[in-house]
Amino acid sequence: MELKSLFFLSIFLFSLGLYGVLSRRNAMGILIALELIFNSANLNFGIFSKIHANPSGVMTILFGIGITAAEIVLGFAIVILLFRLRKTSNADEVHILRG
Amino acid sequence: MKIIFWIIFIITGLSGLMTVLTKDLFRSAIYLGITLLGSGLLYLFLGYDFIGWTQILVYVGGIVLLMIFTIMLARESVMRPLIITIRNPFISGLFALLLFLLLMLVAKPLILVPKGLDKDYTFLPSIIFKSKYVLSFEVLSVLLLIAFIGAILIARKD
Repeated sequence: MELKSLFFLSIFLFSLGLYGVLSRRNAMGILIALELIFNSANLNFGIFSKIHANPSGVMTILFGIGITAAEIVLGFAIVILLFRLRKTSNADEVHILRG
Repeated sequence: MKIIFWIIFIITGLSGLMTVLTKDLFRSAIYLGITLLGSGLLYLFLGYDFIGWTQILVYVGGIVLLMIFTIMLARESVMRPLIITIRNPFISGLFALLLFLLLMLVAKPLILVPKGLDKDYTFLPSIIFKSKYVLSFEVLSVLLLIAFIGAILIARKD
């Protein structure tokens, strides 16, 4: 019963993250919403690792946490650079990379 | 114990909701920290002690702190909170709701019962260092190092 409710919680968090990614205009807001999605995926790995009694899922959570840390660090560095160049952190107003 | 689980469960869900609904980015990061803390505590209820504390240490201690610093650095005025605009709330809300309903429809008939004996993952570090995961763990640490050096290079003022 607890596993099922945790599964529902992870689905809920994933949908919230999708809403955040779609509706936010600020790049930092998008990154924050992306964190929710990664977190729900990690929770799912934990639940199914428990069901199948297999430690690979737990190891995947560990790697997921590390990779998410790397991604967030790079993303926020790009946001700081963007803010210094353009005085904005809105993802819509950035046309530098547009060909 | 059951009551504590449900309290943490509800707090995690509600703060996840507030993370995407609040317009002040600073508060959004704080709510995200509460959500990640709650999920870390839920890992403890699943029996993953090492993962739970790692999550709290890395996410709440590291990543949320980094987010708060960045939000404080990248705003126009020090006194004004960073209020962000929301684009197409109805369409994106509709998409998110549709995905939620679809996933719930799939998840509803599943029967999730732990198979076999519950393994004890308290000694997960010993699993890492005695098994096939050692090399991938090393590669992960090199990846983190490269990402940090790259972030310093990108954000440096020159």
